[in-house]
Amino acid sequence: MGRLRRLFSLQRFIERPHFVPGDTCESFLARIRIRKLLQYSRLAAVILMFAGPVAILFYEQPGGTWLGLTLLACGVVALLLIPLVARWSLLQQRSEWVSLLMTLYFLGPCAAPVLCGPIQDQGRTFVILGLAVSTYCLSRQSFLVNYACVAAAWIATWILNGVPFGTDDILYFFLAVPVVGYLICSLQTDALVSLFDLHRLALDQQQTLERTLEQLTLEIDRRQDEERLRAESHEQLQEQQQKLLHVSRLSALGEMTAGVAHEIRQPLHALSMYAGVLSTLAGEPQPDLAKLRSVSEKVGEIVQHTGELLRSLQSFASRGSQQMSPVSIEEVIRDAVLLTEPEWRRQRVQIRIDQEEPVAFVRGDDVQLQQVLVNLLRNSCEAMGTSPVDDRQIHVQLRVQNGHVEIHVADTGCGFAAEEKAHLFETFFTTKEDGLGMGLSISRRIVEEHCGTLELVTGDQTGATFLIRLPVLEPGRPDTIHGGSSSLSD
Amino acid sequence: MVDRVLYLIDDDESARVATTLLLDVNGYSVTAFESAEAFLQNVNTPRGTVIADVQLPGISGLQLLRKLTARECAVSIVLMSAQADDALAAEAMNAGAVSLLLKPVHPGRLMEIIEQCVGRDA
Repeated sequence: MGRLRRLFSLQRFIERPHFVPGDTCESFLARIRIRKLLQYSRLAAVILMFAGPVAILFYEQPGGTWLGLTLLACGVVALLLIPLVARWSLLQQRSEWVSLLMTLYFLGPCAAPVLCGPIQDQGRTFVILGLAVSTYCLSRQSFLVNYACVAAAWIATWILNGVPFGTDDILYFFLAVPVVGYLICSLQTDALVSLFDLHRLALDQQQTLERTLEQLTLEIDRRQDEERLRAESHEQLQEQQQKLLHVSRLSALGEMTAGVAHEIRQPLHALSMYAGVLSTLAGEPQPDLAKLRSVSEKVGEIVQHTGELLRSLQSFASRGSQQMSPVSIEEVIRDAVLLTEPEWRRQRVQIRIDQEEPVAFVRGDDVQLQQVLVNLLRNSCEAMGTSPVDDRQIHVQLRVQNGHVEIHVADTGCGFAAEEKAHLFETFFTTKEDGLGMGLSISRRIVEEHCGTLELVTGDQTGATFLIRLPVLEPGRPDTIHGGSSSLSD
Repeated sequence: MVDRVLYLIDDDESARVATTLLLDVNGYSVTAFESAEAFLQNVNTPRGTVIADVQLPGISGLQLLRKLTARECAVSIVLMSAQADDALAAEAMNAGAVSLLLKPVHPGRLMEIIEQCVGRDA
């Protein structure tokens, strides 16, 4: 049963006129050749089985009976044997058996008239030559040349033998018909093979395209995965960076604490003195009211100033996460100067702030921007430790240019060596003995997160100038932000 | 007549103004300076009581104390500091300061010390 089904599916496979997906060139060629052989053998069988009795009955030359029997035998072989061998060879994947069978089958009816005697001596040479060439060509699978050779051999035989039109011609006609049929089949095969090549090319391209598409899909999936992972790790990184910023701020605050304590003790001392003044004045029989008012105003001023300092400290220390809002750069600079006051006063540094009108606003986190300014101002103070006392100046210049707020922070300190300049913004690079090397790298990152730039403009022995550029929000104070940064003063 | 002339040296303006006013309303004639250098330039032969902050730009209060002691000036020196500790206090006392006061100083305590100095000078 299995073998029958196999033969049946083989038959269906053979009958397919065109290539099927999965065909190789060899399997396609074998299928076409077998199909051709089967068609041809059916046709030839009919003709030969008809030509055999005709030769026996009407061919009166010697050997005519043998010729007729040979043709009849060839017809039977064509009808029964050839399909069996063809299918068997296809099952065995042995296409050379098909070639051999075709050669033998072709040789049979062609050689019969020669061997049985109807064709004279002169003609035999040509016939046998033609058969030899055609057999050779069959083995090379060039059917067109094969049949051209056979046809030439037959025509030469006719001409040389001077055969008149009669029963011989009818016989030859019968023999020629399968040859012509075979020729037509062969042409069809060639066309099909060309078609197959084209289809195979298209199939190859399609397969290549499908493979490419598959690879692209995989690549897209991979990139999407990567992107997702990157986004996740970016989020984690952002969180870590925010923590780092906070820690670095607290560390700066820790370093500034001694100065801060000093800075709070000074106004407290002044307040204590004024308390003494008030107490003394209160003890007088005729208190000087003008003096009393003056003292109370001064007390108010000191309390206000100290309150501002505490507010800056608190906001500088407390904020853990980034909060973007419209920020007045002027206020940022003012707060940073206030926060670093103990340091620049201790170092006897003069700070000068120049700013162009109107006041510039940027979109950003005020505490983080303060952190940048505090870092720069503290660095400048430290860089001027060895400068002459009357030449310790920090010049902060604020201006708006080409849609950017530009903040120049220039000092008259010791500047940087060429080697230092190259690594200035790298994390863990420091020129200080007890420095961590975080300040400038963190500052640059903060500024870049605000879509700005932080760079060293000049840094020779006469001092360093840093430039912060931030995209300006709007010149002047926009109405929409009254509730924002100004809430403290409200 | 008790010499009620005082010198005050403090770089912090608000503290300087407040202290000057306190001493003024208590009947002292105060000459205030913002640095030790300014004091040394303007006062050739200092005498009386000098009240100086320790953390001064340039010459510190402690250095001024040593300079004046070396010159054998007839001055009593009271030091004040916003960042005083035991080591600094010991150093100040060894150098000959009358007292080292930690800011903020109670006005009564300051007046008490100054009264002592002025009384001793007299």
